[in-house]
Amino acid sequence: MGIPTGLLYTKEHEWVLVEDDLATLGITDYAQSELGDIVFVELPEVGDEVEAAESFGTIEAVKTVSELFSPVTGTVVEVNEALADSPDLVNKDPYGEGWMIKLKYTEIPEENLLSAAEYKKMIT
Amino acid sequence: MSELKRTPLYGKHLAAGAKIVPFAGWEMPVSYSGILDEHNTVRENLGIFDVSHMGRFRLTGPHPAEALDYLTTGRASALEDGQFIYTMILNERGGVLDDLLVGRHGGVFLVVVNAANLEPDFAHIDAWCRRLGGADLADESGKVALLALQGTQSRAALKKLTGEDSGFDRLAYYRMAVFEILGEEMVVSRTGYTGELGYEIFVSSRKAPQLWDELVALGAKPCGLGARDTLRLEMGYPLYGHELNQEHTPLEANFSWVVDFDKKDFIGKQALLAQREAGVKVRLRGITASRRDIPREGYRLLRNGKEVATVASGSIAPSLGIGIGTAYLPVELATPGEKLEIELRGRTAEVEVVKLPFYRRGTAKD
Repeated sequence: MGIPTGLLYTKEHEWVLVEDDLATLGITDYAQSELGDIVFVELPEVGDEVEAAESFGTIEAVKTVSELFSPVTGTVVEVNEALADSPDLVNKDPYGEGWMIKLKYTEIPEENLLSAAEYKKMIT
Repeated sequence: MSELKRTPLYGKHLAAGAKIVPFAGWEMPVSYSGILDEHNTVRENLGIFDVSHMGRFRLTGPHPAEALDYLTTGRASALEDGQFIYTMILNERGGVLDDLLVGRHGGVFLVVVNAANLEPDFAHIDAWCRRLGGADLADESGKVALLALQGTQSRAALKKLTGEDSGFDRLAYYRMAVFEILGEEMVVSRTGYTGELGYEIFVSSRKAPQLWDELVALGAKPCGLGARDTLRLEMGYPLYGHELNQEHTPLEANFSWVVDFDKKDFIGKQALLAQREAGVKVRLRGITASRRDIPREGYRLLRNGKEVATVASGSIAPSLGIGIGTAYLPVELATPGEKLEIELRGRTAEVEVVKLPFYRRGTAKD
């Protein structure tokens, strides 16, 4: 199960990559494996405001619908449009082509975030 | 919660990398390679399901057919040797207690019921057998495993195990016969829950793991409850607890074809006759939606903002690429082509009312 170092993780199985003032979000390899085949990802639009610890969208597998929670507060600057037609990218490449949104963040509440080592401990 | 049961194939499921879930008191595989892959494999090629959790009863004695004629909507007494029928057990109000298969094998009747209803079904049938006399019920669910080999390649695969001269390829839809497979006599029925050409094999618990391995070696891909559900829903096949329950009758569920009104009497007959006379007020229908608006169980269906029904089953339809669902709709809204709204997590989307099935290219009767 891939858990790249260099990313931060949430207890709800999202990952975040922080680069300068940008944060990229997705779900972890463990999450996609537990969910199974992803058939739809509902994401916000560019310009939408997202609050830390609140839902920014939903992800549907064949059997289940789950909320996506943002670990950061900020404004959406880019959405992965490829997921509209190929939601299975989340299964195939959760940390790469399966990314979901990029935010210009104003706040990253560190207390909600786990390191790769801490996340690994949580799921095993 | 009592301890979960395991089928004789539990070890095979773990070895094949199955994701295991609790289902009706059993630890069952929900998927192996992925629900979509398993679904497509059955539509296009060959899948194998462990359905050993299904309840299986034997009815013997001098008058088992008469008891079944009274207990179910069908006419067991008209069955030929080696024939199965799909039928239902009703309560006095015409509500469905279970849907089941009844088959005749010599003088014995085989009854296949839903795992979730096994105990109440057994109690109900047993009580009536005692009251009516002439029929003895036995539960053999634990003794015999049940494998469902489903998919366009199922006939070719099983023919290899029964032998060229077995006459296996002449087995007709909803018929069963005994074949020698792996040195053991096994009942094979041409039945299933996927809409594709397929067979169900009643095999001893002892022999089941070997049969599983042989079928996998012949190209059958292990498939779980997840794909079983998407396959059956595309076909509009009902699932007890979703489309069927004690609150709805076979007439409302579009199953008047399983009700033999010419029988002198059966449980629920008076209620169904009255409903047939008065006309049904709701009818089971399909709804279709875009793949972005997948209906889910319990979601509300609206007309002009007012709730008219809730979704009984909902899913993506892997073979159609759309969202599908079922619901009991008021008859005035049940006309195919009618448009309704579905409430999805804080937004609404349009759905269209359709007749079942959703998927019309199944090979089950080929």
